[in-house]
Amino acid sequence: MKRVEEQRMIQLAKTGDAQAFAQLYRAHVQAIFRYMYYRLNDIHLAEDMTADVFTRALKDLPTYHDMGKPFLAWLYRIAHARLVDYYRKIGRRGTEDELDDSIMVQQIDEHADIQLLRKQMAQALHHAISKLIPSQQEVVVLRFIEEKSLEETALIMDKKVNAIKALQHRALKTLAQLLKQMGFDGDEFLSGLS
Amino acid sequence: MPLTDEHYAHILAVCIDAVLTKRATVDACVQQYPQYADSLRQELRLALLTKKLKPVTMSDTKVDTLQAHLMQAFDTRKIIRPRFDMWRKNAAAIIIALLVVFAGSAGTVAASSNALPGDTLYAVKRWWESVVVFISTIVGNTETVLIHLAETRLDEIQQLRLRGADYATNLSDLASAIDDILRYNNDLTAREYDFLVATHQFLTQIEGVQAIPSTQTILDEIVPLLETNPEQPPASDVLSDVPMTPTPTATVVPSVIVSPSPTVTTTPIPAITQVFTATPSVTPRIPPTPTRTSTPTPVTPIIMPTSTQPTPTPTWTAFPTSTLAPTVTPSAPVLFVTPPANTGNFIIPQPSVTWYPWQQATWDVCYLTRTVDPYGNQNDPYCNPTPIPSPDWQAAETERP
Repeated sequence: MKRVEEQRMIQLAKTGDAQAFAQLYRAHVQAIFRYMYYRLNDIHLAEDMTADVFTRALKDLPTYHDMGKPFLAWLYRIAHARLVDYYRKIGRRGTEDELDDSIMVQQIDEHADIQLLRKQMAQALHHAISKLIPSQQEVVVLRFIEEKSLEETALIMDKKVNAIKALQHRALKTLAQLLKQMGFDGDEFLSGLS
Repeated sequence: MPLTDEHYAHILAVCIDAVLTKRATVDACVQQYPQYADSLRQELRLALLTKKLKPVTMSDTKVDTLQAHLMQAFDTRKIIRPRFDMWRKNAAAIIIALLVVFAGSAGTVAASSNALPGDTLYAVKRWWESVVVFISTIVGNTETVLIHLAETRLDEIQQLRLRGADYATNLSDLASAIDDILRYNNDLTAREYDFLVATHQFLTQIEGVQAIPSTQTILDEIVPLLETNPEQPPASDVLSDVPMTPTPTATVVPSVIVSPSPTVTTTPIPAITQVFTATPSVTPRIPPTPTRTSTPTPVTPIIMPTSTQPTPTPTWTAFPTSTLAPTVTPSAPVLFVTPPANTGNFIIPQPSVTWYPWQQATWDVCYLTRTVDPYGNQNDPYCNPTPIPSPDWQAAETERP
């Protein structure tokens, strides 16, 4: 959805046009779901949290003001706040030191099928992303999954571009460490998969 | 962050953009920055790998279900208002809060009207009485307010006695109320006289009251007054309140509806005569208007009971009836040939079990807002609530036309 069209829809939704809000929802629901999924690594929980985000957005829409940022940035901020609430509620925060051994990928069998390895690698990567600290999770999802530019990511996360660059570097470095702990440490292996 | 890390972060960002947009390969970037070859290669491949993760999506069913839920919530939510309406909302909230406080105070005062000593709201009742007394000194009807309060004290004691509660300490309040009345004026009005009679009866006829010390104090004060006013007309002589010269000019057309009973012409004559031959000692509180000093004419209004009266005993119809008003000539004063209950310029309803808080509140407004009217404030809706007399007072009350 183009920016001008999005702004028009927001105004219509604010004045009571349900279909306008439905269009905004349709345009952004998958992005919010992915954001939730890669940060929670749980598809059902991600669905619930996505519903929570849009319910909150509906409630807060009258107070929404276009500050020059995309509507999705506002939704991401809501999603971020909901995640913070969620982590506070369960009394747990994702840290780069945490690793859940129960879902750790088994040692790689070098003779295993390449597709299986890809699948295992994908699972390990999902798991590693979910173990990053929240700001690193966010930058990985926005930069590499949502393919946002540095500037867009900075806008959404309300940070400067240089801060995003640093976060991006630390996130990738931590991911490499986490994957190494899971057994995915061979440079050739990564090369072969990619 | 050390300078090298910051520099590396910038190089990594440039390479990631180039690789993700396929403007360069991983190897090309690594060759360009050989000093960071190992970490750059690893992180660039991780970035590519992350990008190639199978995209997850929310199922269409879940998306539709959530949309339906949102649309339902959209329909039931409040109407969205622009932000500039916020001050109005706040102003409305303030006004509502003030109204709630005001209504709460008024409601508390009204609710306290039936409170008796010992009740929670009795303090509120006494406070409100003090407010009414204070305002009455400004308005100029303190005498009426004071007798009303004294009657209230006596009524409270009677109700406490019926409850079986201790009322000895409240007799001192009654004594204070009587002191206030007597201190305020020298000449007793009929209503005040009636009140003193009722108080005397209560103090002398009710068993056990005489034993209370305050009783004798009150009796010492009121007995001489009752003895020196043997001719005081019975309850509610309007002459005490209605301005009237000794030579009333009213031409009351004797058009009062005659009851079926022929015996009715015999009874009320003495009372009527007494009314028209008012003693000079009665001091009118309101100067008479010139229209009231015309030539006296012998007036012998024939007062008849209403046709609904079942007994031959003549009585007056309750409160002003429409049958009398049209028969009085415009210039003639309205003569209350029979006084209203408890007299004053208007009827003071007596507290009773059927005396509701709203009536009290209305009556308080009457006190504060009425203009003294020799015609009994009949044009003031606040001062004409229909009183519901208690059984104790009903016997002593005389009806008026």
